[in-house]
Parts: sequence; C-alpha cells; structure tokens
Amino acid sequence: MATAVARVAFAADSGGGGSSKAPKVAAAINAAFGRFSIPAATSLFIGGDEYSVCNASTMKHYDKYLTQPHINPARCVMTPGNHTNGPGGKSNIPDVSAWLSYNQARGTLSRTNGGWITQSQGIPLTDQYVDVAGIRFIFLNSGAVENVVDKPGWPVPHTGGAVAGNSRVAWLRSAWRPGTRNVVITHHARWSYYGGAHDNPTMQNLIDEIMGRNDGTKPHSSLILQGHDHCMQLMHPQGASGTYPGLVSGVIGLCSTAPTTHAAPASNTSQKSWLQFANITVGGCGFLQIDIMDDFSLELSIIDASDTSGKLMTNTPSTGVTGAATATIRTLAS
Amino acid sequence: MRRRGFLGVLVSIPIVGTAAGRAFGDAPAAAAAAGGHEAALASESMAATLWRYMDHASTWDEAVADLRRYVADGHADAEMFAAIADAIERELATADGEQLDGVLGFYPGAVLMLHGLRSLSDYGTTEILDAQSAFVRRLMEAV
Repeated sequence: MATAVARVAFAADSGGGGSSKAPKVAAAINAAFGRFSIPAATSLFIGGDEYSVCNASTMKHYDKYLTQPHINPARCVMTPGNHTNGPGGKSNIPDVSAWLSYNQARGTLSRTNGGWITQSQGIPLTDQYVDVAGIRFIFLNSGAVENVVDKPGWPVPHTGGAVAGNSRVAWLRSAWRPGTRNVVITHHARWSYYGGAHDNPTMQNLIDEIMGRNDGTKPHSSLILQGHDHCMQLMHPQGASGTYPGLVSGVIGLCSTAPTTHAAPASNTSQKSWLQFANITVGGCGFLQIDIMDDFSLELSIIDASDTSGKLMTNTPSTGVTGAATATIRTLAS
Repeated sequence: MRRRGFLGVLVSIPIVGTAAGRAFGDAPAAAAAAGGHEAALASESMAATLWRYMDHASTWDEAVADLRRYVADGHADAEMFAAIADAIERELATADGEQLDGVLGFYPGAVLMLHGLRSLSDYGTTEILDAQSAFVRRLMEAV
C-alpha cells in the first residue's frame, strides 16, 4: 500500500479580501498541512488572481495564507492570472509589479527574475518548475490581462498557432521529466464544464504540447491544474476537438470567489467525462489537496473549506458522478 | 413631478521528499517586449464598464469596494453610484448574520437594478417608482 510522502495544496482565484472566502480556504489549507505526518513536506501552489485586481494592497490578501503556522512561504509558488498580469496605471488594470515585489518580500519560490513576455502589457516571464517528491510541477503564465488583453494563450504572444521556434516552448520541452511525472499549473483552463465562453481554445497549444502532439513525442503529463472558472472540476477531456487519453484536467477556481452556478449547454460534451465535479452551493469554497505517494501516484481530494475538518466535497449529482470528490492519478517513469 | 427618497425604496427591496535542497528551474528570459500597447479601453456602455469593475465581487463588501473604485475613476453616473454605495454600506451596517452570499454576476446586476430604480426616483414620478418597485418585487417572487 502506497504511503504519502508529500502534500500539496492548490488554490486558484484565491486572492480575495477579508470579506471573501479566502480566510476560510487559508485556514482549511493550514489544517490540512497540520494533519500531514511530515510538516516540512507540505507546499502551497497558488493559481493566480487577486481581487479585484493586483496591486500592493490586494497582494496582502495572501497574508491570510502565508501567516498560517503550517504554511511556509518558502514552500509557496504562485503563477499569475489575468487579474495579476498588467501594467497598472489605472485602478481597474492589474499592476503585476506588486505581485513581483510581494513574492520577493515574502521569500516565496515564485519566479520574479525572468524579465518579460510582453512588458508593455505587464506580462512577466514567470515560467518555472519545482520538484516535489519526484514530481515536477511546471508553472506557466497563461498571459491575459484583465481589461487589457482578453485572450490567454501559451505561448504568448500567439504565433498563429505555431509553437516551433518559440523560446518558451523550447524551455518547456527541456523541462519535462521523463515519462509523465510532470504536473502543469497555469491559470486559464482549456476546457470548462460550462463550455462556450468558459472554454479557452487559445490554450490548445499547451494541451497538444503536453500530449506530445506538437513534436511527435509521447505524453509528458497526466495532470494539468488551472483556475479562472469559478467551480471545482476534474475531468478527462473529451471535447469536440478530440480526446486526450491519460490526461486529467482540473479547474480549482473556487478559493475566494463567488461560484458560477449556471448549467452547461447541451452542446458541451466535456461534462460526459467527469472524474469529479463539485460545483458546490452558493457561499461554498474549497481547494485541491494532492498527496504524492511513494509509488509516485497522486491522490487528489477536493476539500470543503467551509470548516477545517478536511471533509471532502461531494459531487453534483446531475453530472452523473456521485460520492466524494477524489481521484487517483498514476504517473509513468518513462 | 413628485419624488420619493431612494433609500426608502431600496430598503423595501518547495522542495521536499528526499531532495536536500532547492531544485527548481526557470525558463530563459523572453525576447524584448512587443511594441507598445495602449491600455485605454475602447468606448463602452456604462453598464459594461461597471460590470468590469464588479464582475468578481463575492460579497457586498467587495461590491462596495469595487463600486468605490468605479466612482473614484470618474466613470459615468459616478455621483449616483456613490450614493448607491453609501446606501449599501448603511444597510450592511444593520445586517445581522444574514446569509448574503452571492454568485458570479449577482452584485453588478443588483447594483445596476438599483441604478435604474434610483433613476426612476430622480427623473420619474412617485407612481412610476412605486409601480416598478412593486413589479420588481413580484418578479423576484416569481423567479
């Protein structure tokens, strides 16, 4: 029987203020880390977005997380979202310089010295990887800027759909561990339960890269984690553009914001492929707990943050998936 | 034109595991930034602008903060929205443990409805304001 050797918490859309759900999520993550048998083997990964936009004041929302006794800033990594990227200058345009300064001051592992993907739009090069217990977590900036650039993408700027020759692509290809012991973390999800405008086709290049389709290699990862959409979902992608065997796509975007609660359109076929789906009720919140096992499998649990007991979310029955929101991801060494 | 106070109507409605140290990798710095991008937003309606400010509000407190930023930036009907923010804050001060959680889009939608009611108060008659307020209440019960 496999034993957990490290615990990771992933929370996106998590930078809300004191009146948001962020304090509850922070307390729940702290409790989850406190329950883990190896306190030094806990890591917090933040999937972006401060509300309403990133600035020196809203970055302090993360103090709720980083001042918890069991959360160590030195084992925290953030990746920017569309409310993070931005040149600033107006109250409704994010100022990513505050994100860079905050992470430096807090001593997190977030990359702050990469220069710029697009400086005029305030999109920093934050791509990096961090190894945890034999699993490589790769963080990629998906690029959009609230009130400035609507479309996300990887790579950014877009190059007509082609990825060859792009320096970010070359770096990612050099960063993959052999096999599928890689987890990709970015802000914008390629697919969402809700479909339509909630899907981001401009992220397709990243999915194809993960699957090894752009360069004719094998799949590099079994798990991509994202946020942006305000729900909790784990799915085997099964969209109109094809199937993606072996890949699990997670959206964990209900960590401080209000939930999206409308129904999926009938034309969206991706909801037929749920692993787990916890749309939860109005006022609910949660985060994803990833236990890395000594056989390099990943035990995923969507934790209800309404209190600190660590109880699991339950799935939305209308999706056809019932029971607690958990899943196991197997990884390959080669 | 006979007017009635708006508030009266409003009230009615790392590295762990076996690794010894850090083992992280960074992507190489990107090429020089692309050409200058003008951040200014294209001309758009008041409602669209307000929605952009308030889209992610999860609570009334956050909604008020977003509304204050909209007002401070001098957008359309700033004075009216400032009054609406004041009214929300006054009501929040009297709220007592009520379940006021929202969903995405609830708060900007509610504020825009309040803006409409306030406009009726300012530019319409008491009869119209009362009738619309009553109709909105019936709609709320119907949905």
